[in-house]
Amino acid sequence: MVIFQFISVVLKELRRHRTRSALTISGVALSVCVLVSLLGLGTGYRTSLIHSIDRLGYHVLVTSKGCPYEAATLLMQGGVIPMYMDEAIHREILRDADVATTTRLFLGSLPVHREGFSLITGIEDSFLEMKPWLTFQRGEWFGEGATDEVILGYSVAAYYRKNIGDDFPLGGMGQTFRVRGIFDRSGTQDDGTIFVPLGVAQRLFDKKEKLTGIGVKLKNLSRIDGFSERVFEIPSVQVITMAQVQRTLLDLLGTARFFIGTVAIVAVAIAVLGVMNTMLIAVFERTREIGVMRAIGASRGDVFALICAETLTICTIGGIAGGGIAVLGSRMASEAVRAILPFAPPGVLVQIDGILLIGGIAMAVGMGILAGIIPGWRASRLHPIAWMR
Amino acid sequence: MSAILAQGLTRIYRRSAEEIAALSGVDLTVEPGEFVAITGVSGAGKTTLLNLIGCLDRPTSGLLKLLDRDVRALRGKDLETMRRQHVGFVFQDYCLIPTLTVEENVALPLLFSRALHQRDRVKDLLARVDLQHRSNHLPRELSGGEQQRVAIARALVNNPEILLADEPTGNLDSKRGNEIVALLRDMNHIKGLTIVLSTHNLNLANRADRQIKLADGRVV
Repeated sequence: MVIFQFISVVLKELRRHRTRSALTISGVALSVCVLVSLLGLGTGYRTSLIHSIDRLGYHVLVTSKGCPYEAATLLMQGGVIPMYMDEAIHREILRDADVATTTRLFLGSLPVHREGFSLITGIEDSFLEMKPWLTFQRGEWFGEGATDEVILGYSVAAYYRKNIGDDFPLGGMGQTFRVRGIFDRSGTQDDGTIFVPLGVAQRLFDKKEKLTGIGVKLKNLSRIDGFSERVFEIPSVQVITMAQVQRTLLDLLGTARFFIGTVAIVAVAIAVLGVMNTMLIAVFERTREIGVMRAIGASRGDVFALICAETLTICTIGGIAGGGIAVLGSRMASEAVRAILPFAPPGVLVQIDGILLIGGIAMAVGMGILAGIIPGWRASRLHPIAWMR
Repeated sequence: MSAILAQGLTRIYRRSAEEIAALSGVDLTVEPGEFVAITGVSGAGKTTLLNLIGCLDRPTSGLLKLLDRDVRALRGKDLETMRRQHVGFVFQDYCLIPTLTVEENVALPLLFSRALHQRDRVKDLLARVDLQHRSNHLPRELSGGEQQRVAIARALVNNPEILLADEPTGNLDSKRGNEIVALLRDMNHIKGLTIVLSTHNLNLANRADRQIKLADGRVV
């Protein structure tokens, strides 16, 4: 009963200055929205990245020696690995007793439809053995000896509105290919890739008998360390295990998340200061009312609680609104991130689950308590007759 | 036991190096159930005296007892309890909370004393000040006289022994002013409430049991 009456007094006070209350609540909502969205981005990006790595299909990737960060990033996000190895290395790896399957890869990027560059991957038949989940939505695998056929990832086909048999201009020389197949959505980088036969890719980039990577599946994953050591003995070659890729990229992501967290904390701090400032102004304006309340029996604690309850109400409403906006706008935020980072991993980049949402609202409640302490203390210290003087 | 006992009551305000004596050695006794009018011109010390009696301010020196309790010995929560339970205050300009309805304004002291279960008292008091039909109105929708009646109901809701009214008719015309004093008189008669009212209007002061005149912070 007392608490309801208390809340009623607080709400009526907030309604008294509707614009000010609305603006303050909006500030809190914005900061909570930023906080929840940024943390959701960290979670979503990490989940998408791990999912993407898991679905690469290889146990190890053999590439030319170079920066492992670059190799891992290029492997995951696509792009031209500017170092090549000879096909002979593939033959050498095939001779290893621990190797179950290999697939040769040639990655590069070429202009498509004069709209910028797209990731091109030259593949061979064993590619699908590595990725059994990769199925055709329409069409089929390359014809025997075909030199002018492409298979499109799901997103590429959707973006260019291509169907089986359509022409597909590729490269700067005006060569036109024909769409032979379209893969179903896989939720990996393959959705955004244009596939051509391995030999065609080597010819397009004028790198005959060269590869950018060899995907290897082992007979037994526990033998990975021995296999890696043997491959390292091959000159100018390095082995990247998927665990390494995951660790490397997650390390990079961890650094990014630290900065994201910093931005989120700054947003929250600004909101707290904003609410505190607004409430200090409100206390100053209400010196007389506070004095009257003290005169008719309010204790210092009552006045402190009233002011804190106002900040708490503002921040809780703002927190719920901000959390709601973050949830509703998560898809849009994902698309916005993808527009800025076109090589971001596939999937929902901003993932806001119940725990994160509740955490964001709890943070807003914490902001309310924090922002109310100084104004509440100032109000409770006002002398009952300060307004008369 | 006196309701109010003051001996040598002094209140000095200090502003920079200057000292202003708002009250200088006031001696005063008010018996339970008495209706006393404090008179004097503006600046005579009426409001300062009521603020001290109402525990809103503290004396610089002298003795002040309310209901046999030494006010100068009271600290923090004891002072708050004295204000909340034993003294009701009515201000010249009503001082109602503008966002709350008439009923909520009257009930506000019950909220602070955690006694909302006594809400029936609110309705009784509103009926007694003839404002039951205005209970859901906001203060700005009421006339000055009505607002002051709400303030009186609010001052009485915690059932205090002493009611202090600082120029309660100061903002009202003579007709409304007479109504307010008549209402206070009724409360005094019916409930045996001790009332100390400050006014510079001698016609109103004449309706009290006794008058105490202040000039330059002293009883004259």
